[in-house]
Amino acid sequence: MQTRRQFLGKTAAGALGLTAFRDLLVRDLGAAAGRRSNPAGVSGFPGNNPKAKRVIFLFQAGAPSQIDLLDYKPGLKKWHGTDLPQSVKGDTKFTGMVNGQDGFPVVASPWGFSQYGKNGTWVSDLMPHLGSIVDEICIIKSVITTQVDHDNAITYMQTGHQLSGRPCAGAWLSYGLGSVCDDLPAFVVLVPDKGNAFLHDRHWGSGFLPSRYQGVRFGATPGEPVPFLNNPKGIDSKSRRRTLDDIRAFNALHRDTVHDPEIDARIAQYEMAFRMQTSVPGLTDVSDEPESILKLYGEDARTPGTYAYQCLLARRLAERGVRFTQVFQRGWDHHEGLLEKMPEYSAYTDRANAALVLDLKQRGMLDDTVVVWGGEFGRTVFSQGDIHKDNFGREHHPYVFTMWAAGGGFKPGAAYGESDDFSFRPVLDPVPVHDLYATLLHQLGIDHKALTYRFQGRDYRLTDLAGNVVRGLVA
Amino acid sequence: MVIGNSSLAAAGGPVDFNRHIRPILADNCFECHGPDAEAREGELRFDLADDAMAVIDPGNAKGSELYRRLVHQDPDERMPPAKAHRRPSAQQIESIRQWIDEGAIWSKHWSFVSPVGPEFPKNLSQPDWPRNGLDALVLAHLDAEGLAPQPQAKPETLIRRVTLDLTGLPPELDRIDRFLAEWNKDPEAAYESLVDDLLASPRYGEHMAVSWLDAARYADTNGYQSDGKREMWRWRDWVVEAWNRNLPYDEFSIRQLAGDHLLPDRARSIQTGDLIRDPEILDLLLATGFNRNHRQDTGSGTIQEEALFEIAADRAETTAMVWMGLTLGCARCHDHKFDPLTMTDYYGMVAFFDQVDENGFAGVRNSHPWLVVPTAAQQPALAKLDKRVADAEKVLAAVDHSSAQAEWEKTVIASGEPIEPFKDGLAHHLLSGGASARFNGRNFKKAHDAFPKVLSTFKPFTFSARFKVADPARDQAIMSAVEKPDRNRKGFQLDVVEGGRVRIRLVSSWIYSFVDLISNLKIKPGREYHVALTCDSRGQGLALKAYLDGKPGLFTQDSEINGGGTTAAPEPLYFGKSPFNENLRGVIRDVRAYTREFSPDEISLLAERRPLHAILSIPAAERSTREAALVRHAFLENAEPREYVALRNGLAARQKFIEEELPISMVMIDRAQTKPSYARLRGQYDKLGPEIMPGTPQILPPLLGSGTGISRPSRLNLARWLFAPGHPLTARVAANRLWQQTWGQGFVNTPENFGTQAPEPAYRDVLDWLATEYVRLGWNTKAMLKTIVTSATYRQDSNAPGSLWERDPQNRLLARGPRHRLHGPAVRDQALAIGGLLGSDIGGESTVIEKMTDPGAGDRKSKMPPVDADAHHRRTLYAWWSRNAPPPSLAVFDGNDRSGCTVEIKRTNTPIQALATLNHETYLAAARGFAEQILAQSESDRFEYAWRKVTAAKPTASERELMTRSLAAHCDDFMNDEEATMALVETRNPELAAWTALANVLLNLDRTLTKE
Repeated sequence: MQTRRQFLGKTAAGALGLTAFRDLLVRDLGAAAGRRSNPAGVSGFPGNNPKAKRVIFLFQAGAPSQIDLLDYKPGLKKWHGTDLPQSVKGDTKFTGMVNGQDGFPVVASPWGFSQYGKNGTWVSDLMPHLGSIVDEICIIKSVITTQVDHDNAITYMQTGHQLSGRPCAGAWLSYGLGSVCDDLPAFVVLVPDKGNAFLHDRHWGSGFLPSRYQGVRFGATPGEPVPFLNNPKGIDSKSRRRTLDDIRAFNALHRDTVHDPEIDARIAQYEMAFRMQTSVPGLTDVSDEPESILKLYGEDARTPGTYAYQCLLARRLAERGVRFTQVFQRGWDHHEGLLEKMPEYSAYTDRANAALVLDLKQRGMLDDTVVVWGGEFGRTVFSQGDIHKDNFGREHHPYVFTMWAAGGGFKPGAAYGESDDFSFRPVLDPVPVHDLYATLLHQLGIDHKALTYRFQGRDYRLTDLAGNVVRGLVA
Repeated sequence: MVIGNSSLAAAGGPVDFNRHIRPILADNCFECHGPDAEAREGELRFDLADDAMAVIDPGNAKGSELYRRLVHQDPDERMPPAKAHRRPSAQQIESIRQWIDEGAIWSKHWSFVSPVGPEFPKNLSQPDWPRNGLDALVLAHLDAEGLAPQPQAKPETLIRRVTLDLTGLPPELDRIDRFLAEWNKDPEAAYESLVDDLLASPRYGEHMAVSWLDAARYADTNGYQSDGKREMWRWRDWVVEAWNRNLPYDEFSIRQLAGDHLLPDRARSIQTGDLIRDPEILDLLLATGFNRNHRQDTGSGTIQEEALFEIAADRAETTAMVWMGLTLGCARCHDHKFDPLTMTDYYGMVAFFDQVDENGFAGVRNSHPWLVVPTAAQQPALAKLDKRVADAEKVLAAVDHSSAQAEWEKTVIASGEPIEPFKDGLAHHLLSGGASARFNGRNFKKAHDAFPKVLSTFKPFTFSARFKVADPARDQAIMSAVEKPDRNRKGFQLDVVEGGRVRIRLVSSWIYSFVDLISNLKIKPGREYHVALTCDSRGQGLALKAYLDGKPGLFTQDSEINGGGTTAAPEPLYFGKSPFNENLRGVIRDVRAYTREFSPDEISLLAERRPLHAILSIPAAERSTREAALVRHAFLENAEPREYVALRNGLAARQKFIEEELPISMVMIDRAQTKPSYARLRGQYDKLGPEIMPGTPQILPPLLGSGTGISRPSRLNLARWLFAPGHPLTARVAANRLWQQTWGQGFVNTPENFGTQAPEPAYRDVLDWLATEYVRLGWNTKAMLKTIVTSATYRQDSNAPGSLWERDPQNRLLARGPRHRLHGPAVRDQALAIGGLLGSDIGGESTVIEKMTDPGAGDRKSKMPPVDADAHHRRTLYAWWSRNAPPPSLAVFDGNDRSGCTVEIKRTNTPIQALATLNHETYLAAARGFAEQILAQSESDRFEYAWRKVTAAKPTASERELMTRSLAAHCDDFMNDEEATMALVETRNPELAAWTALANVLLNLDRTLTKE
């Protein structure tokens, strides 16, 4: 009869072989059934000289108004309340919510703008903190998408295609570059509590890629940072460790007689599960941050579930090597109540956006971390419905909108592209979503045409059948 | 990369075009030199022999331009060019050289050639080993590979394997005992009887349905951003039941694709909302739900033309993938890059599916066409209610009330009190009697707070009013009840528009979901009109009928109520104004709201201007038919003779039963008039190309024989064509999926794609034998599965020497039995079964099995239903499936969001899955249930019992030892920790807690989570 020590000794040194055992405990998560693939990434990626290693995407879901934040159009004052000229509007399609509308009155931004930074960049008074970091960010004023409604547009922004079923950017990166941490998923999703609507688990799904590449939403199950992370009541970590030792012992015993290498993969997954259980709780507890950092992100950062907290958590995840962190702030869908809601959501997010960029910079991480900010589309220059004195709103506008990116080689202090006088269409250097992704992947050392996955007989990629690297965006 | 079999064959033997060469050309060359005319470079294509031979000199590779360019030193000359990001390997180039040197023999892509039963090999190494044709073919391959099959697996392994494969559940211990006892007497008979039992079990149909639901993109919600609920579980149950009764696969398929085209004449006029009692018709129509399972958007963001096109395209693509293994979608915007599928082929397939009588948008429950579809269990109750109504009608007709009516009339005339002939269901009656309200174009009147609540299209109602307009040439409001003029508002409006037309408008969500009914004639100044609107509760525009002066057919209906919810505004009714129009100049009187739908005959009577007393004063013999009918109606409703009340109660009871108890389901019913179908340029819905007739891909056998006289082929033609003798794909694709179900992967390991990118499998002869056998057996699926699982090939031990695992890690050679991870639903169902918790009810409404936290659900009108505490341990098949947020513990097990068709069974392996089976409440409940059952055994039997529950085998000494030590350690912990014990098992029983912990271990073993 074997003692426990003898047994584990045999497991470690004999049955599996020391090298094999170490290998499988290190990083390689083993193979998917029937299809070996390399969770360390796809061979050949990253290619030469990647500028960035990871991405934090501050997704502003619902779509904030570019006209009231970064796309300064002082000339609109004289048009305020009059119909958008037919020469501008043409037969442009909007959603069913305004297509039958009688008039399309122009709304000039009700907020002031001020100049910031070395180039005197105009930024809305709604986002003064963003103003303070304009020299770090690259503002893209000519992004265009093809989708007029939220679900398709978010899906398009996430996956490069409007119909769901394809992997999103985070899944592509996780697949292409693999993971560099062995106790966290490569792709993490954070959804602050505030705000409403239009986000679903499938928006961070892995599509036709295996489910290991799907985004893991922290806080998706109540009381747990990661789904199913908490031990059942009555099972402490010692007991859980014993359970895992038992499982490993049984599995290793079986592996002695059945030679299927899949059993090794199983053992490795259970070990990683345990490491996640051990490390994640400490990760999500931000009380170890110095006071200065908590102040930088704002008081909200102390409260889990706020945007500021999620931004701070995004930095902590980036520090630990998470490849792609996506914060989804909801609540920007201002069909009405623009006067109330724009200041509310701007104030809620402004300080944390700037803090994240500054925090990464002071740690030297901004060089190899790209921060992207933007919604799924922009908003119309005209009012949805009539302009009332105290209440009006803007409809979805996919034809031009503004995003910004910082770090990872994106040109600091730059503005790229231009929209027309009504922020209706681009007049200079339009940037389709696919081009933005081609550029982002390029910074990560990935040729966007080369990172493909064979599905249904076709090689799919994030940039679908399009995409060009926009040299003007990167230094 | 394609995991092909190229490496297994080329060594030594001649090169085969289909197996070795076409995949290389398809992969590396077709993108620019393939079927897509638009993308083609240099007028050269490698998918056609004649074209390719322009650059191939058979027998002379070095002299062939193709080979020369592949190996060219100059990067500008070399093919494929660098920008293509494709580079064939040296070995692949060598294969091409060899093929050209061997004469460049070209053949059609293997899967487009009809399968023929292969010749059976002779001189096998073990002539006694094969039990059927499959085995003989496999053994010939093994002989060629120099391999021997593994011995038959142990009976304990076999019973667990075959039970999981045929029912998705582990075997029960008593069945294992019986099987082992029979095995000892006669292994053959024991195994065959086990297989027969399993195929006869109702669990078989459930298991078969699991992957069919993925293929059919079945879900309980509509998808897109609002993801509202829908009701399609009757279709799901139809599938379970069809597999269980072993409906042959051709019938199973034809009914799902075109059951509505098989209806007998008596069922020709079925329309949305009809209650279908006839089981034969139910069967045919329910089946067609297959192609209504696609997602549907509400009208808020989608344009109708776009929605209708996307739906038809989804049906065509799904149908092509499920039955033919073709990825049609690639030919939507351009000719297919790799497969010989053109845009004409694509739009020809779409044209089969664009004739459904639908509006393209999600309804609030279902969108039309849908039917009321009682279950078999509900039929008796329904029949009873039908009989009650029929009997009551007979009785009422038989009784002579003439003297009673005469008495009643006398009393009424004598009293002189006004009499209301239409009382039944009257909820509100404003300006009744002689009252009226006058408006001068400036004033208005708040009429009633609750009146508008009756006007919801989800309930039956009748609205009626009388009005005069002084100047109908001027557009003006008559009355309205609308939410404040804002987006998404609801409400009811009655207006005069277009210089004198009456417009009734019901809005469920402005601006995308509303119905207008506009009168065809213009009203005259100063004349009184009666307007009425009835609704039969079907939710959408087709539920509504409008009448002017009691006559139907005078209104044109426009627009549609989509996903916007009820039309009942939470605002009062106002007479004389609306927020959108000038005020009324005219008179309103006699405004009614009923909570029942009036028949056209009743409306005709309701329109009568004269008060009842005026008609009563006409002597009975002189009354017109209409007058007599009105008086009779007034008598019945007011005097309420017993027989009349009985009928009214019977009708109400039946209506209540239908509305509250009976399920509904979406079906395919084509529009009465076909509309032309068009190709779309670059795949864009609004860029119409040429008109297209329904048709099947040119590369495949013709859809119709010559001289059929059919001008526009139908879905039924398509469905029957799939099963016509000699169809190259249907049987192969289906057989490949059955193989995937039992072996974890098909011979073609891209079950969704049999096109040119799918290399000819090394065991094509085995696949083709199975395909021809399926046809020979009359598409008998149970017989096919029996053929597979009783084969010697399937019965091999799945364990094998390490050298074989190394040589053939994926078991493509079949030199050992199948061993692979269970897929998600089986993992969950097995745990619940072992824990003794699995519900056994078959079918019915979907069950919410766990908490869902869809971040998008927060502001949704139809919130997610709560977890069903009584039924949340049902089989995974019945889990309520939201497309936007599938149950989390299943999503991590490759549970897909059912956006579209999926035919591949994915089995990935992630740490989150480990966390789920270790920590999720379902698995913990299973562990505890398992522990309780173990403790119910005598002490000496417990380890063996536990081990057999998870593996079907008895534990070895080492396994027993490991269990003993694990239990002892957990026992020590819980003995000393009452708090932990209470927390884990909610009772002061450390033994139960320790066994629960051990059960948790056992449910997480690799061999438990694996079929071996």
